[in-house]
Amino acid sequence: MWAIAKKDFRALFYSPIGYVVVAVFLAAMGIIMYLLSIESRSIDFNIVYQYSAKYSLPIISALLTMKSFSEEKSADTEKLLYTASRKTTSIIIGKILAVVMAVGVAIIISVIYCLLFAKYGAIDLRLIITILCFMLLTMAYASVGVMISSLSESQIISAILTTFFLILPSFFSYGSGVFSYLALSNFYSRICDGRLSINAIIVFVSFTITCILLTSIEMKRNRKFN
Amino acid sequence: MIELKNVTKMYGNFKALDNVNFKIEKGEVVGFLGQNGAGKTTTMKIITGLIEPTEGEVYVNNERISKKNSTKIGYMPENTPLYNSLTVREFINFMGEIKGIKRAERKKAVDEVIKILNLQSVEKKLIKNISRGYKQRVSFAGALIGKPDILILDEPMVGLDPKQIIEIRNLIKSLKGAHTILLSSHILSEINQICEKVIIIEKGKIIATDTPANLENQISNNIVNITVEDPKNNIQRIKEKIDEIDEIKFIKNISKYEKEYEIKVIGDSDIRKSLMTISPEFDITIVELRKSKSTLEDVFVNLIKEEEEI
Repeated sequence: MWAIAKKDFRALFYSPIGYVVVAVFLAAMGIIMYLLSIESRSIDFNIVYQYSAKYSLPIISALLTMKSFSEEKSADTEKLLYTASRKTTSIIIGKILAVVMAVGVAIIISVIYCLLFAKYGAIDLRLIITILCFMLLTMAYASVGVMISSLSESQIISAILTTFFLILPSFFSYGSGVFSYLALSNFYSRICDGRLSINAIIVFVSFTITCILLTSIEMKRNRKFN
Repeated sequence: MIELKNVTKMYGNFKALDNVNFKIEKGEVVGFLGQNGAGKTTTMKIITGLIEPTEGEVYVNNERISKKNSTKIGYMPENTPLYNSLTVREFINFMGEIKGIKRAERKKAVDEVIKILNLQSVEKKLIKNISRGYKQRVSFAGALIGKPDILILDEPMVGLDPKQIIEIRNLIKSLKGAHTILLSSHILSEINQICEKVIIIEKGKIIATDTPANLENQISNNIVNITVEDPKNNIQRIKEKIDEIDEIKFIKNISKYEKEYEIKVIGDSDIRKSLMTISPEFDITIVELRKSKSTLEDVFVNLIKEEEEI
């Protein structure tokens, strides 16, 4: 699992994609901060992460996961993984971890923003929970991206489908329909509002586990029919 | 030990493997021959656990193949898929890590494999920057790390220059006994030199399993090649004296006076002595005389032809 996570993390930063994604995430965060500070003349970093989770995280998750299995399939390297690795789930978890680690790099840099603003006022300590839950949300988003990537050889198709799947529910999530359960950013908003929602954490974790299981089933189906 | 029992693989309505049965004993080096699309790679993928058979069973060391024991198999896939973003050492280390070799033993295992495959000069280079020959060796190293009991090598010599082929050939020979090896190749002369047993597959069916020598003896190819000085052009008249001769075929002019012919003989008789005795009678001087033997290539072509006729 760690071997695959390290290898994929390295591959992300071997190509420009890792750097571009970190830059896009930080730039988007900067814009959100600027717009919020102009409006209210103060900054609540919980809200900055809330907006990032809603708008930029789905896109960067899609960009980071589009290579996960699609590239392995097109380069035929999946043969190496499937024949050498003992467990299918450890391959999937390794790939999700690589994405979480890459987003973690962006989060660590974003913490510098918070520290810079600490000069002008105390930082809300709930921010630690917000950031930790942001990582859990990243894990859930990454699991969706990895699952979609296992279905296609095309990175572009994987990226488009993942973005679509992650962003769409948040636009139709008002009320209590199916979309409200699929819109993970809504669960995250509750945490950012200052309520440590156990429900939200359970949703993120169970969403991740479901996606891992579905990816594993897809991989096994591939072995049987291909 | 590898054993396939009644293995069938369907891709939709297409039967890629049709009731395949064979057994490879421990320590054997076996060549797997077949035309493109005959089912070699599918069979190898099934043995490695990469894909599942539609019917039948695969046993490795008397245990049914599963994820648990598939790590006893080192697989070198066709076309050497590798991770270009890793260096040679990192790749081999990665393969060791996913095969479950513990950190304490891994460095030693990586060093050993690098030494065996003579990769010291490129170990710190990115895989994308090394030559095809080295890539082939790196892929081999990935299969070899962890000392798996079984090595499945799919076209390990494709794209290599003659020097590299000799190196890989010697390497496989050196692994004989310690590993059970199944290798596919289109270079039949290599298979002949390396393998003690050959399995030939055609249209998903095993059509022959034997030693290269036995397979070669299966074809009665009684031909004598003769190079002569024949100023009076009497060569065809030899037929009058030796009844076993079926046909004398001109091959080429070696020089102004010397000509090469191929003599097809009926049955198994050896006519070389008779030729030596009779030729002076016709003013023919024999410069070279040799009985040609059927090669593995002849056997392969012959068996494929027979199968197509059926």
